[in-house]
Amino acid sequence: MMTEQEPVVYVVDDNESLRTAIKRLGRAVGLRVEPFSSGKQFLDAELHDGPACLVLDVRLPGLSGLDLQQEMLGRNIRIPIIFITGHGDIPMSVQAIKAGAVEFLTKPFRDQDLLDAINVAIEGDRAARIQQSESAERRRLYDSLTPREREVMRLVVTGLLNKQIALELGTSEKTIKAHRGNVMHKMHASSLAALVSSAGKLAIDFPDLGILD
Amino acid sequence: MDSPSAEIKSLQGCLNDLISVLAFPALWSGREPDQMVTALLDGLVAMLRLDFAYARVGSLGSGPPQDMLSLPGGRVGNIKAGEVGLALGPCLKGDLPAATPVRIPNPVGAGEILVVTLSLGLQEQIGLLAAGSARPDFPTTNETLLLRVAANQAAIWLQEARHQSAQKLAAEELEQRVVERTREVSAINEELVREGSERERAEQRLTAQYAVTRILAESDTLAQAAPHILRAVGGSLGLEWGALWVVDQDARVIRCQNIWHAPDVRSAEFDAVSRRTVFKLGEVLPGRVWETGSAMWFGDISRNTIFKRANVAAKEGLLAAIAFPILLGGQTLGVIEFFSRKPRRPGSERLATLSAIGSQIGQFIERKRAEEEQRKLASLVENSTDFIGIASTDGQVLFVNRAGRKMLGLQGDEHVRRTVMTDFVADSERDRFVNEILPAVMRDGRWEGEVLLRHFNSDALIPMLNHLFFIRESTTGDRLALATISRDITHRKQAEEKLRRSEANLAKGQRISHTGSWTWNVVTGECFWSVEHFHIFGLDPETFNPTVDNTQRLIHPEDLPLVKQTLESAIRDQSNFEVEYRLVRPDGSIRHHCGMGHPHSNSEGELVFTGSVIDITERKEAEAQLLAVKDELAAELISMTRLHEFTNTLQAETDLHTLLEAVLDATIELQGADFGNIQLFGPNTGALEIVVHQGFTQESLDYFREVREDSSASGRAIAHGKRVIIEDVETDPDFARHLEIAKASGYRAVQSTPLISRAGDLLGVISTYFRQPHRPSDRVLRFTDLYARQVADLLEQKSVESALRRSETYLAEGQKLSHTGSWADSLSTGEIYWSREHFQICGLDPETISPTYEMFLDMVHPEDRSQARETYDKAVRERGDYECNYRVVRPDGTIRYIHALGHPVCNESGELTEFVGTVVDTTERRLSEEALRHAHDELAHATRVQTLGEMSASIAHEVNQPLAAIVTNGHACLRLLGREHPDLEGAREAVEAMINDGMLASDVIKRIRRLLKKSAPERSQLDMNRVIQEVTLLTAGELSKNNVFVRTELESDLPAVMADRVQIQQVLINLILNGSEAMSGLLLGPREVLIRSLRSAPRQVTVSVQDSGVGLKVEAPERMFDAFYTTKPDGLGLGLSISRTIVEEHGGKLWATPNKDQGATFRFSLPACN
Repeated sequence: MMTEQEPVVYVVDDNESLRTAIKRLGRAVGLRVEPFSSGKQFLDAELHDGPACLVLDVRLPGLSGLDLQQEMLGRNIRIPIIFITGHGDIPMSVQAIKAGAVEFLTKPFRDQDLLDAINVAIEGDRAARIQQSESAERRRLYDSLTPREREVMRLVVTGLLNKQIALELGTSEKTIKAHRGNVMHKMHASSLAALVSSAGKLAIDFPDLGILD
Repeated sequence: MDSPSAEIKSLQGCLNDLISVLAFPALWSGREPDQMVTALLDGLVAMLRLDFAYARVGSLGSGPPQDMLSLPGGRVGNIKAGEVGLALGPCLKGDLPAATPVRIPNPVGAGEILVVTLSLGLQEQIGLLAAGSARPDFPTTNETLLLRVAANQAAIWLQEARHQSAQKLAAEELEQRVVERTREVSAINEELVREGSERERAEQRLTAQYAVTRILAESDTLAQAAPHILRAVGGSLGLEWGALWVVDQDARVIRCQNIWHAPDVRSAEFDAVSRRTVFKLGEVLPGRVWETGSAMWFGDISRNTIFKRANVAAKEGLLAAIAFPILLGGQTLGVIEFFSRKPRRPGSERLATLSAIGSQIGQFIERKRAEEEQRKLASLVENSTDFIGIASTDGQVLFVNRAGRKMLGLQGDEHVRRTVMTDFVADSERDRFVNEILPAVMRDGRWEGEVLLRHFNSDALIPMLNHLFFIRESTTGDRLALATISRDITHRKQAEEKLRRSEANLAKGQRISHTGSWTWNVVTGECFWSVEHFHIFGLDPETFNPTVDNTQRLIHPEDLPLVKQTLESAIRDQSNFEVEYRLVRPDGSIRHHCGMGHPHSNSEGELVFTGSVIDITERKEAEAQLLAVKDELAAELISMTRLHEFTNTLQAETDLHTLLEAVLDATIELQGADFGNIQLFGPNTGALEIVVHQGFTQESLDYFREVREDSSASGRAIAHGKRVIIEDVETDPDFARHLEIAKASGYRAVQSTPLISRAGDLLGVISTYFRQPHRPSDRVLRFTDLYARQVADLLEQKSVESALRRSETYLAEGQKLSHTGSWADSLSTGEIYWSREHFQICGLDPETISPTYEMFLDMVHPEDRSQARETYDKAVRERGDYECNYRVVRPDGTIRYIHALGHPVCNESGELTEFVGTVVDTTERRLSEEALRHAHDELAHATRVQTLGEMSASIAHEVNQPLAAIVTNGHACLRLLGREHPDLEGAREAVEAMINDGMLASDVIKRIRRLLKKSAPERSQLDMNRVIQEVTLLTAGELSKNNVFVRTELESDLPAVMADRVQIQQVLINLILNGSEAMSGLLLGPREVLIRSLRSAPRQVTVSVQDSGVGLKVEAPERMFDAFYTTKPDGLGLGLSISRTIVEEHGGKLWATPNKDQGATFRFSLPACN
């Protein structure tokens, strides 16, 4: 089981005053805020493993906000981003949202707007993080299967009977029954429906496994 | 309705009148100036319906100014122009502006009249024009215009007329000079001709006399000699007809014996009449001469009624007659008569000569008579039947008559002459004859007795005859025995005697006429020279042997061939000769001779030339001189013509340079120079500068481009104000330093004539150069002076013209713009003079206030007063020039800016006596400068506003930044306070941050407002680093839009600069934004603007703005600083231009350089404060 961790709000803005103000706001509402003055600083930092969001100024010296967004995608850093800008314009915000931004706020912004956006982002991240950890568990379980068991699992989830599977694999129904029992056990599947669901999720998360092929 | 049509009518009238006035010059052409003026006045009276028009015109020639008056209808009556002039007096010399009407009592009628005066020419140097009209509206605008135009026209034409009259005078003067010179030369010519003809006549007389002598010597009878004599005398004396009249003593008449006439005279009838006619004693010309025994002449026989032959003679054209007697011992033997076509009065010498010739002929006749007697006697003896013999005293038998020869058997005269007296005597008688008879005869003179003679062919004895021997004595007492004197001897002796006598005369004449005579026996080579001949040849008669060879050695080698040839052909043809040659005297001097010779044979039949030699050196020289004078005169005439043409050219041409070139050409041609130049004297530079030149090398031109010293010819000419001629530069010690350049230019001689204005100012020099040592002739120099005079006049005229133009322009400009006053401060008396303008500038009334130094200082603006006083005191103390800017406060409180200049004036002893100077009201200029500056500031501001407008989004961002922080902090604060346990510490921090951000936002807004504010520039001490930081804040937003960021490297402890903050910020903003723009198109690389500040010199701060953009447009690195130069599609192109102007106004510089790798760097520097 994953342990629930304290969410963190990262702030990247070259305006120190605003950074401090946001941190102060976080303190007031009990949010942990970690400020950075540039995108590079942010990238170089060791990020904490837990739900988080990034409040990012569009305009930054060196790496701009949008550049940082692209860089994070490239590095598979999946932290939801809230853009803030002094003079937001529509093309820029469209670009940001398309790239996965959660929100686009224009300075000066109301505290609640920011906090709402932060909450949404963190909740989203939290969900994403949980989803990401379940999938990983399933994969771990799947990886514990022997190749014969994986084959049996692949045929089971397509709805074949043991007799049919045995015929398919050229073995005895009895043997198949034993493998099926192992698969159900190893995959923590209490029922066939649960195994089918698990296999479906694996197929989505890891298409290369070819589970549903 | 009425008024416009009336105005149109009046304008039409005015136009017509204007055309009329402008047409005046056409009427004036060729008229005298007073006629022009009268016509103009009449025209004005008629056109403008004046009551009178008056003009006073300055002297056009030499007379006093002229008053002229015109009244309506040509009425003049008894009103005198001069009286009107007097009546106008006050108006004429007033300081009133031109064409301001003045009311005066009507000088030509009753009541009062309005009078307008106009000057003719600037400052009335030509004259005055006055127009009077009783009309109250006089003069209308149109009339004023017309009057001005008319005055202008008149001025121009009168000036022209004046100029022409001066030209005319000069031309007349020239003409007069030519006439005088011609007269002089022709007088000289006549004199020479006269001298020549006198000499000629003397020669003719001598020739005639000599010829007569010779003819007589060679003739046996008068009849034989007469034609020769008549020809010789008539020919040599230029007479056309001659006759010899001989007195017939028996018939008591005089007859014509011989006639001669010149070959071109057809006188057959006259000859015939003369031969037929005999004159009695005292009858007509020959008769009278016969009677009086002296020469007579008639200048014109046609006027003399006694002349029998006058009519016939007149037919032949023979008018003058001269006759002279042939005298012997007071008795007239004959008369020689000559006629001439030219009526003339013979000179006394001529008469004397003719008389002498007459005597000569008389003697000849007498001699011939004696010989005739002798011949008659001899004939008696010869034919006598007696023995008659003659022997010389030494016994030689000379003559035996026919009877005697027959008697003694002698074979003829030859036989006789071979005998001696004793041969005749019989042997038996010989002793007695020798010892008795002959001594007796010698002792007693005669002996009578019988002597036996012998026959020559036989021994037969001649019967004893009674003989008479007697001694015949010659007239001189010499004893002759039965003397017969050889005729030749006698003849020779007598001829020699006569020759000697005539030679004495001849020698005298020869000395006078430089005529020598000679004879040359061609066969024997014997030469005889007269004394004068030796003299002419410069030889001593005692030592020089006059042989042909010796003589020819003296003849000039060049002439010798001609002489030899002439002699050879004369000998060959036995003809007369005449030859001119040059003789080199032993002393080396050269004489011109004319030699003449006549051939004849002597008694031995040998060819002999007799002739004369005349020294014609003087004549030759006189001829040469005459020729030279003629040439000179001709040259002078040509020069005069050239001068005239030249003057015309000068008048026609207007371009000074072209004119000077023409002058130089003419001068070079006149002097026959090889090249030349004209240098003009620049009074400001004090140097002679070459204006036009011909034939010079560039090197030489450069060398003499500006002449300031006085060793060159032109320098000397200008230094001494007179002509300088260096005949040979190589021998002129003062010229030594220019010798090299002279050699390089190729000249040896220089002539420099100064150009001097009529006022005596040196204007320049006209110089000519010669390749060989040379000195121009006086005539050439005289003309050069005339040319120089022309050039000087020309220059003066041009300078007057340009001064006129200048002053006109100046006046026009001055009226519009400058009010210049002048002042003088007499330091010794403390007196101060201000011109009218000075008063006006100060706003004071010249009539009521007299200026003092204290008053002046009081007027000066208090802030400027001490400076004005110190500057002036310093100038006075140091006797230096004074220049000061100050303000004066006029009595009405207005302030004027003054620019004052002053100059010290010292007396002869160097003592400072006074300061003089000017004041110029520069207020308007200052105001316009202010206005310009203001306009400039406006522009700068406008650019600023535009820039800020472009930056508005960024600026909003800049303001939003602190606002965002404030808002956020505010919210945080509220939340911190709203907690169950309010976080007071956090809230305080939040509020503090809010305050800071609020200040920050306020600053930003303040800065922007300052940039937008339209306030007068105000300079203060600035810390450049701070300015940079502020600007960086302002522009950061705009730059971040382009993803450009600003980095600064600022030197600490920069000195402050004195500058206007806003303007310098504007410059920086401009440079930063430009840098940002330059990088906007970049895909790669850093986008950074680097701003540096540094102390670039002890007292200078430089700021650089460096980008890594596209760099400078290499083809126009400076053009980008031009106004309206832009590469941006929507740019105004003013940014850099204004930035540069701002920096330069602060005493700094703004420039751009490309970077090594990429982009450009703009820098500006400003002087640091003290």
